[in-house]
Formats: sequence, C-alpha cells, structure tokens
Amino acid sequence: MKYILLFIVLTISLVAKDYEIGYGYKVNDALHISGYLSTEYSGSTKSNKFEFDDLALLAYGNLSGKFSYFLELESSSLYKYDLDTDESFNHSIIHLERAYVDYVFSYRYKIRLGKQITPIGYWNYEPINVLRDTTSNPIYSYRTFPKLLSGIDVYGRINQDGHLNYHAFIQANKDLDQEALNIKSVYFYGISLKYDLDDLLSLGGALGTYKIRDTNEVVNLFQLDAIYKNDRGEIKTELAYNDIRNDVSNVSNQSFIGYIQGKYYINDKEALVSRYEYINEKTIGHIGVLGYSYRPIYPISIKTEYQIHSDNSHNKVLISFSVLF
Amino acid sequence: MWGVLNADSSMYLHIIASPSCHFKKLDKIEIKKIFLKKRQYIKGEFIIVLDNPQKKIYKKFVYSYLHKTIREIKAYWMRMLFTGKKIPPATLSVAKLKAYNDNICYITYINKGIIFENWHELKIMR
Repeated sequence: MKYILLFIVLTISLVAKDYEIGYGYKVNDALHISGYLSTEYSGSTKSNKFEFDDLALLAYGNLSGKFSYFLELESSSLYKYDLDTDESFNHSIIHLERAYVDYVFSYRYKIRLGKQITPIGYWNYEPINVLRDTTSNPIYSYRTFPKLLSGIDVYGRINQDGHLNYHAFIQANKDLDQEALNIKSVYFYGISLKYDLDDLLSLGGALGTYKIRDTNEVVNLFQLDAIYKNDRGEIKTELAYNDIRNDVSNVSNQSFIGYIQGKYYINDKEALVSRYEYINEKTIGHIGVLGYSYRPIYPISIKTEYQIHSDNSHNKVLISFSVLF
Repeated sequence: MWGVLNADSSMYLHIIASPSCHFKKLDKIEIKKIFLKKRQYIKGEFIIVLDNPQKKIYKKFVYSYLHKTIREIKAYWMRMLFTGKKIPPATLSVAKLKAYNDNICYITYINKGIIFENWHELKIMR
C-alpha cells in the first residue's frame, strides 16, 4: 500500500500542470491534492537510527463558501534502519489521520465534524515535522491529552470585533481509526479559549476530561498556553496539569508537564531554537533542546538539534529532512 | 458586461465588492484580516475573498495590504492549510464569478478601475 501512496504522490508532483510545491495539485477550488514526507536520523550512545518517518496524502477544498472538507491519509514509520545492528523494519499500514467537514453558520458558530486535531494549544496544531521548528516533540505534546479527536467541535469568536475565540468539543465514540493514536480514549469532552491581545501576544487555556481505553483511567485536564511573536522570533509556552483517577482501583495520581520554547530568526531562511521541558509524573525530569532550522524555501525544512536530558543516557542528536509537496 | 481582470500596467489597486455587499468602505486592518481569513464577517455579512491570479497584482496586494513578502504569505497559507485551520482563498476568474452565488458578498482587487457589472469600489480608510 505504501508504494501506491508513493506512486500517487510522485505522479502528481511530476505530471500535474497546476502544481506548486507546498500547495500541491489544484484540480479546482473543490479539490486540491497535496502531501508531505519526512525522514529522520537519531544518534545517541545507545543507538543510531535512520527513519523514513511519515508519508501522507491530503485532499481538501471548498465545496461552497461556507462548506469545506479535509482528508489526510498517512503512513507512519514506513522504514527504520538501525545503523548499529544493521537491522531494518518496514511498516506499511496506511491510516486515516484526519477526515472532517467544516461548516460556517456565523462568526460565532462554526462546526467541524470528523477526525480532527484536538483544538488545544499551539504545538498540537503542528502535527507534522515540516511545520515545526524542532525535529522532536516535547513530551507535553503527546502525554497530556489525545492529539486527535473523532467527534464534533463547535468554535468561533465570542463577539464580532473581539479577540476571544472558543472551541467546545465532544468525542463520545471510538476513534475513527485506531492506528497511530497517542491516547485511545473512550470519550473526550472539553473547551478551550484563546485571547489575542494584539497581533503579537495571545493567551489561552483549556479544560477537559477524557477516559483512557486501555487503562480505564479518567483524566481531568487543565491547560494554559501563551505565545509572543514578532519579526525577530517567538516565545511560546504550554503547561498541562492532569488529575488522573483509575475507574476500577480508584487510585489517583497527578502529573504536571510543560515546556517553554524560544526561536530567533537569523535571516528569513535560518533560525535558532531552544526549549526547556519540565516533566513531573512519578518522577521529575528535565529536557533541554538546542536546535538549528534551515528552510531554503518554506516547504522544505532541514533541522538539527541536540537534546540534553536529566538522565544523561537519553541525550541525543536528531537530524531531519521534511518536505511539503 | 463582465470586465477584464487586468487591462492596464498601472499598479494602483482597487478593492472591489460584489453587489450583495452592503458596506461601502473598509479600513486597511479589516482588509488584512479578511484576506488572511482571520475574520470572515464584516458588519454581520459573510465575506468570500478572491485572490487575483496575476502574479504582479497579487504581489503588490500582498506587500501593500497584507504587509508580507511572497515567501511570508506562502509560509502563512501552508501553515494554515496543513494545520487544518484555514484553506487559502480561491483565485478570481470571470468564469468563477458567473458561477458564484449572487447572494454572497465577494471582495477582490484589481489594478485598474474596470469594475464588474454592478460591483462597486470600496473606499479604503487609512
């Protein structure tokens, strides 16, 4: 299956006349076909691995002014090669990453129905390597709430000229596709708010509750985020507090995980990035990341980073190449 | 009759609105917000923006009204697209305008005052 996906992708990019890298192939306003791929090298004292990480195909379009759709098929961890042991691993499952429709009722009420990115924070909206400033994701991004939601999100702006945006979302069913989920949930309800003070600074937060399918744990989520950006760079931070209770044993515990990341543009193609992560679960951990990002053109991203962990045995180097096509 | 999209080399841009748009003026901040799709409603009216397909006119508009370079605007739309937040505006064409819904307010820009039938030019407030 992965070769079929690869064949479609290459054919479109080579043959299509109405093609532009990053935007894909435009059939008409109702159908655009696009995609991305990423590769990654990871090196530490424990292992040296090369990975053909993601290959995805997207279709999206406007069906009318108020009605649009988005579909994404993805194959994750396509190929891994261990440089130390000379072993390789193939993974050929294609899964439904996102599939939803959007309808605009008014500036106050819009609806998104289907499998979609959970509308919380900033990092969660950057699910693919090429959009991010670092190859790695902070632990916050995959341990604190389900990244994807198979349900309904009602969202909009509280008042027409205001700066306050809201999302109210519900999932009360199984995920549309069980593959490649960070947390498989029985249900997930939540709200999130974002307040744009001006073009430079915005603040947000979310409340939610979800039940983990595999462990029967009910998690209450409290999340806060902030971002400041200008022409020279940006600083963003996200924090999540999880109150976790096992439905069967009634045992409770808590976690507090967050990060703060700064980015400085050297010029319009290069940037330096640094990140600090704090992880307080059963034990306390810290991670520091120093990175460099180079984009010869926006759809192509070449990144490298060095991670320093409080447990030094996890220190590693990451290098990645990713492209939107 | 339908107008010609680009009939002059002058790069002065006219912001024009379809007959169903009830407002006559916009300020530059509103134009920026609706063309970046940060806002889809003006004075309670749902707006569809259309980009000009001609690269020179598009570039001039992006620089003058959105205050971005072509690289920056492409980066913005790719980011919006792949994060699933917004889809870039459709591009303007006479064929599309004929097929579009008359009850919806469309806004676009051209580089000469040749206005489509019944469309009106918006006064731009600084």
